[in-house]
Amino acid sequence: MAVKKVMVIDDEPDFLSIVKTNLEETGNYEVKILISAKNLISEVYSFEPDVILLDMLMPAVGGVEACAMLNNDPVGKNIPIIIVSALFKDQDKYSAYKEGINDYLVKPVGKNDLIAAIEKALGHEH
Amino acid sequence: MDNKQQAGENQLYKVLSSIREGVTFSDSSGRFYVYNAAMEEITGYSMDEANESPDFISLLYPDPKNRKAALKGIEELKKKKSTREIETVIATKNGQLKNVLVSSSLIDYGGRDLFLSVYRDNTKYRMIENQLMENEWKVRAIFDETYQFIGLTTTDGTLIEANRSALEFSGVQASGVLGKPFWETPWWAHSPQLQGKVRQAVKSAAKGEFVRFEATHLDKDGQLHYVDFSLKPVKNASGKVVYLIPEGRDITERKQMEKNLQNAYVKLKETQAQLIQAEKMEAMGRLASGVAHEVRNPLEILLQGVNYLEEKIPPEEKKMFEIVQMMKNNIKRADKIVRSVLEFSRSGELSLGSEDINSVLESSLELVRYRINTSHIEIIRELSPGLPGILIDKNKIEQVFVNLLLNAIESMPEGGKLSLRSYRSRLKWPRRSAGKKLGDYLGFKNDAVVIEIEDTGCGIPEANKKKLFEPFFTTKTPKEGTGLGLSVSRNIIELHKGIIDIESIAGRGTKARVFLRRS
Repeated sequence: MAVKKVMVIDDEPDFLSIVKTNLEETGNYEVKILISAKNLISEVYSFEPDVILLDMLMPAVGGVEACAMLNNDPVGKNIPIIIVSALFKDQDKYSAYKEGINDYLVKPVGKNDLIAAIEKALGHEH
Repeated sequence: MDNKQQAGENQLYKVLSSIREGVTFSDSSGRFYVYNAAMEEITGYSMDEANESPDFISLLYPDPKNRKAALKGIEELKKKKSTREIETVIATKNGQLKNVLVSSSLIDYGGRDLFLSVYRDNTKYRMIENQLMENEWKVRAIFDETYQFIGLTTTDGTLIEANRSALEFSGVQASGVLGKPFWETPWWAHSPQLQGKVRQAVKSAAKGEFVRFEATHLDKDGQLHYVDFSLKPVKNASGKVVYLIPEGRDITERKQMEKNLQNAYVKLKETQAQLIQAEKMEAMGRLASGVAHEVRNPLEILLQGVNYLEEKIPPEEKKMFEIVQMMKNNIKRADKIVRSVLEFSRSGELSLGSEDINSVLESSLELVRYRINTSHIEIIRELSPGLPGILIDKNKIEQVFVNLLLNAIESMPEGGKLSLRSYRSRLKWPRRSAGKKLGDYLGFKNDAVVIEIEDTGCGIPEANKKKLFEPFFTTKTPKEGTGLGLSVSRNIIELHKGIIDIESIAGRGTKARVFLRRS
């Protein structure tokens, strides 16, 4: 199985660090972490991710806004998006789904469930 | 005429001129022989003027009716020769009309039939009498026409007067109550207790005390009225109580208003308490949500860290493996605690019942009916019949619908179309994941009911869309809106585990959708 590129955007450095470690340890993923979605599109062009993990509540550019940015981009709009957020209300999920995401995970997720969701979004669902 | 006779006549004239009544002797042709000073004063005519006038009777009685009566009187006197007394009106020389009492008799004066007439000027007396009558009439009118119930009793409580208001109130005739002890009248018949109280009040008032208490009367239809009752003693010049005045003011309306006010006050207090409670719950909910968010982030990091560690444990380190499992379990436990705090903070805020959402929408529409009628708005209903009943807090959902309807109405000041729709779930997003609907992700499946309120109004500018649900965001003036409508609505829908969605195109209109769970 070829290594898949995962981009993770979250304002928690510890989260970014541990997720990068856990994912890369599997040997199946190359992980790019971003502490902000500000320069998301240019980062997408340079990294060319296969899937994007996105937090909801972030300063400056939030998750829903980031989804909209991706949707408005010819490359970005084809990349699967998984929201990984501590926001748990249906209304929050709904506003994200309206932007066309693939999945919405409520923290705490854990390594295994996160990987399962990534695989699902990549179309590797069994 | 001899001297003696002459002296007698002089004596008679003297007497006649000194008395206050007008006195005349006249024959049947109307000629006066005696016409005293008082008569001159009453009529203004002297005897000569009277005798020289060709038709004095017409001068004295210009009113044909009075003249006829006077002439008829003369004829009757001639026949019966008895005394006659009539009250009539004469005109004086200067045209003034006077009430006079005329006593006439036919007397034999030296073989001749002469009429002796005595005129008494009753004008002043009549005037006083009329004034007295008018005064009595005025007092009576006030007595009868006042809304208050008024009567008059003797000091032993016998009713001797009752005004019309009091009589009509109970549908009784004066004859049925006057002469009775006041406490035995129909006004008190419904309550032996009040009868005793009135009896006691009469005793006290007869001693000069003023008595007042709140009582009840039954009206003629049997309705109970509240009355402010009083009994006042009336004293004569020497201070002795001679009458009692019972008086009653109908205070039913005031009582009712007081009661309404009291009820409104209680309700206000309740609402206030509810509001404070709701605010507390709301604040607690917000706090819990905030805490949940803040705790779940580190929990995620911990879980990922533990996940990392558990793979690094050599198979022989059983104790280490156990400890890592314990850590994992306790991360889950912490998450569970967060969840239960959240659930607790939001519980009890809704009073749920199974409702037909169409009728909830209709009743909300009724609440804004006036605004619709005054705004030339056409309502288009596309409500699916036979929707399953859903468990909601009717009042709160009504509040949401009213908010959405008002927003729609206010976006169409020039009129327009207001579409109301209801149907089973059609949650179709997301686009990216194949084969699944949003409902599946949100746990709605096919068990959601959707209500749509769509207008053809001004729509929402792009810049405002993001702020729609923010508290205190409004495009209205402070008088028109608080900016809390949608924020509160969203809160209510969240409490129902539902979703509220607003789509809008500026200049074209706005569509608001509410998704509610069936169970």
